[in-house]
Amino acid sequence: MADELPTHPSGVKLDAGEAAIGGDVIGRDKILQVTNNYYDGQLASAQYTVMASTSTPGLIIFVIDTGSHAQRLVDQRPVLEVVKSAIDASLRELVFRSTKGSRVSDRYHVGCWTYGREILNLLDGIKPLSQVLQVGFPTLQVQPGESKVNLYRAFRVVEQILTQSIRTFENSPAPLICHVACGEYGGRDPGPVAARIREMGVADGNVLIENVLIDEGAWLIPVTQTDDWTGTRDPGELATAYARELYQMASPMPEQYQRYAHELGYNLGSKVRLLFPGTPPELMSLGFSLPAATAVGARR
Amino acid sequence: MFTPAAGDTLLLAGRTYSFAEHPALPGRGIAYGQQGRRATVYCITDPSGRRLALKVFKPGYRSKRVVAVMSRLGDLEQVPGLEAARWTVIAPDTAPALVQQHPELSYAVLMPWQAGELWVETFLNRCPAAPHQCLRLARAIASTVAGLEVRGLAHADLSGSNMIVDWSAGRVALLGLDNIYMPNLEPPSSLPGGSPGYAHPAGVGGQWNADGDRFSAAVVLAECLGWHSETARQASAAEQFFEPTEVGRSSERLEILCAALAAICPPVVDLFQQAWFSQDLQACPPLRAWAEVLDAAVV
Repeated sequence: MADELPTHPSGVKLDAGEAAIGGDVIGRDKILQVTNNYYDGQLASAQYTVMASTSTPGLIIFVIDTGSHAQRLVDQRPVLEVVKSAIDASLRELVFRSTKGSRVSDRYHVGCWTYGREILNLLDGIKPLSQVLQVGFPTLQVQPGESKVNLYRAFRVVEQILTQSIRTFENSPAPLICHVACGEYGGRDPGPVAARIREMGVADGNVLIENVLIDEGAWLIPVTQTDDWTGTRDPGELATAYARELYQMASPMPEQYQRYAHELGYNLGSKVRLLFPGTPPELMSLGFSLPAATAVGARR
Repeated sequence: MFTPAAGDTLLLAGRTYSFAEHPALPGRGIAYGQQGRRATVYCITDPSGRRLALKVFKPGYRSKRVVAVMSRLGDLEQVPGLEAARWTVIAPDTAPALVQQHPELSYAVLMPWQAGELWVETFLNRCPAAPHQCLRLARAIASTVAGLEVRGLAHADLSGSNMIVDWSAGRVALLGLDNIYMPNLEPPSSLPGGSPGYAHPAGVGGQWNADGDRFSAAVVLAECLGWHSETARQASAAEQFFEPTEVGRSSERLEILCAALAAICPPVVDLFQQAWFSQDLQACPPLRAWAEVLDAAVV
């Protein structure tokens, strides 16, 4: 019961020329460095168009902060319970997108690592969606211990996983790293690792990093209305240094994702980063539903 | 977001409907839903256990236009292959309590559930078909789409996910009729451009016009007729016969399929190649030409 596509964007030539702002280096097929500049939207519109299918499955890796600060409540519910609900809803949506008749095609492969006191491989590597759903997504548990978790180590694990597996997804949609942060992190600066991850890529585009930040005080203007939220396009909108770092680590939102958010009734603007607040929970769900943005379409 | 679980219920016009469980994931509480670009179609059951399809549109595609479409569908449900044209639209003025409880159900469409396999399952399951089954099913498909054409209508997005087939009975049912092309009907907010593997390579202007099915139907009919061939089945891509990038071009797959067509019904080779290499939809053979050839071929 597939549907027609909204009119797809006109192709935009990747030609930064001399006018590149912010020192981006733009190669023929690859963005070597992405910064917040005029070309972000154009770059996004020209890539990220491959559709997930059984022969070109999408890869989604969840990276979830389960450190001690994940013990607090959001909307009177434990943070990780809210996160788990959002992931479950996202997986259900992927199931719906992968269902053909009575079967679930493996259009998506999923991995999940949590980080707190230690890094846990929850799904035993990367698994086809149908296998993940057969056993159910595991419950997320807080790892009490140090107050500041080590995001650097978590991203290093992701980098290694991608190094091992990304060629398997060469013809697939660009992999998406969906990272959930519940508070401030410590340890080494994860920025360089995140940059290396973003530099990895497949023909469809570079790996995307999406950050979901569950911290009510992270945005200078609290995000309360889901329908009116237009996204984060400038680090100056953020109240804390680590939130601004997460902004820098997040990829620009591809136009494909932006359009998908519009279809879901959200009003995200152009040139925003893949950085979502964890509250209201609807926005976290939006962030988790974006992997489905790559699922269909005659993109010719 | 509307995310029903298996077993959740809806009260509509005094009747309670339940969301069916996903058949591939028993015991997981996941509803049986299939999502396309604009909507998710859920399988629900009425109190007697009869299955129905509930099409719930995403916010960006929710529109009272579906009411206008429903009013124009008329007696199309009587046409073989168009049984899914029997609609009930859940509108704010006709089901206020339900829409107030679930605003996401505004302008959702309730329609008969069509039993059988999606066309895409042909490729996913790779089950063989005998030549007479291919001819009979292709004839049914051609008859349905030519029936639309003779009325000046077009489905506008024939594809593996918009057709239910029953190989043993030789029946087809078209789904996704909310984007049907009808003269003087308000166009959809985004014009159907076709689905990967089935859209015309020129693609200009989309498929929402009276000739909108000519190319996609030619591909579907060629896929169906060629499926008798073991060589063709083995050469098929994963979810349709051709990879989307191959459409409209010469390829080894094209040669294999044409050989399979020549073996079962030689006149369709020309029809298919005329469509495959056409400059635009108008240059594709009319669907009645396919229907005539297949009527003659089926004894």
